[in-house]
Amino acid sequence: MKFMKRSKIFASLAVAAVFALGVNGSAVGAEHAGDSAAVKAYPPGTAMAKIQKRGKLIVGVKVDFPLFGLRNPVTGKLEGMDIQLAKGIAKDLTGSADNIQFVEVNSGNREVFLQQHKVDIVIATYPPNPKREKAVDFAGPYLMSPIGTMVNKDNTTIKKVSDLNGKNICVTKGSGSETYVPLNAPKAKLVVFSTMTQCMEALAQRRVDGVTTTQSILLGQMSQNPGKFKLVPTELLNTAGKKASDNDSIGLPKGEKALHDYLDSYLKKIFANGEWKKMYDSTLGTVMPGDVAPPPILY
Amino acid sequence: MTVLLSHLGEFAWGIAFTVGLVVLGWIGAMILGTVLAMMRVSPIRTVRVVAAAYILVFRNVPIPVQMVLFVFGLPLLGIVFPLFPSAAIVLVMYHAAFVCETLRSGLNAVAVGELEASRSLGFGPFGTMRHLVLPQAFAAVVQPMGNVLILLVKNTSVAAVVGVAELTFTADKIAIEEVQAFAVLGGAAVAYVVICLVLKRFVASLERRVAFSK
Repeated sequence: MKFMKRSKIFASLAVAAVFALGVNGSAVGAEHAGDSAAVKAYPPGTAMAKIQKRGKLIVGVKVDFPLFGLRNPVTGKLEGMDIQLAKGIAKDLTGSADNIQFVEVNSGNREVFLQQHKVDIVIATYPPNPKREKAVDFAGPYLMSPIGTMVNKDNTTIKKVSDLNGKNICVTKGSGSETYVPLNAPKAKLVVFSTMTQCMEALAQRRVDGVTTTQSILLGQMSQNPGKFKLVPTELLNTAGKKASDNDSIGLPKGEKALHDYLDSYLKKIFANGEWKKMYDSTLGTVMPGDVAPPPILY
Repeated sequence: MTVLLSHLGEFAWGIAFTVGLVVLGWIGAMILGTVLAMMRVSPIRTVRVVAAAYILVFRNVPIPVQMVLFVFGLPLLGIVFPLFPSAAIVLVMYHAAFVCETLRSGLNAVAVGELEASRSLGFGPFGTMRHLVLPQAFAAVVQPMGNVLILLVKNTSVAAVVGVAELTFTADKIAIEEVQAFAVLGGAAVAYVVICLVLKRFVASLERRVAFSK
């Protein structure tokens, strides 16, 4: 899978390059049209001014997370909450949601892409933790989701957290659940794969009994395979003894205070004017039960 | 560096799994590869074709593809192996093809006259193989066989693709956790080089021994 991933990165870089050329072309047009579009100007030297001068926003996203960032196999276009949020920021900064370049990232290379300024920001189901916060900065969160476990529809043995003991539980490498599961169910046998897709495959083949991660991710996966799985709300506790949740946030290079403040103010704006709700309802809202209010800004 | 030290236990386990895969993979590949090589030079056409077909498939399909097919494909047919044995089996099947082709070049180096002499002295076809052909063939290919062994060491990293916690997988995992890709993967690289160096010494001493026996 990793090798496929790598080739996917190259492929998407190639696509991104072609895309960038196209966008550059249209960005020239957008600049002319942009004179009339109401775009706030930022002081020179800030990341926002740089993005505006370049004419496009470069965002690191995942392409294999349904409802967050997923390449639609039919249209080839990226879809999901992360993608919509990225487009919203591009529109806010450059006047058009099309002035954007997506770069595929995975859980292992998000920090490096930010540190080397290969991307302006990362919106890729990216919750902060103390070690990540040493390497990059975060703004947000734009979404908070509790942790759950997905099992096969006919499974009757996993109903609560303690039922995870003695079961084979799949988690993805580097996810919060990799830490939380042993903490809450010390006898659970962890099977660690690098992608969610592999965990799903292992669950469908009954190689594992359950897949544990944030509920929003699980519901996204379930929407891809309707009728095969069900969600058990195993509420795990974190190291502090509180209910664990993943706070999906926007990653940005370390020390870019102006960009951080801009992103937080942008999130506050879309939380207030209903745009966030529109993004949520058209993606995660289609599978998440109940009404959800925007999260508080924590970072 | 401190990152490596604080994860020393995990790292050691990763190395243990890698060495385990190398040992199992090498024993299996030598046995299967020798059988295949004998089949390749068999007087019976069907046997030759079967061995050639095996080589065609297993030598030409990249090992990550074989790994994923074996682990996620076979369960579709109702066959589920645990992850570590799956990885070991794939490593054996892939490298057996290389062992076979390496050994075959050694078999071809044995002069036809020697075969005729052995047959006229009363050795059967299997006796000839065992006492005359194979010992000479193996002695002739120690060095290229060492290359296959080093290939195997590096290819064990493909087991990471299917979640076996060997060295590459462990290093990758620690790198994500600690957000320090360079130091951790650098440490893994050093460990691989050390494993290969030890094996190279072993191959070199074997080479000196067969040089005397010739």
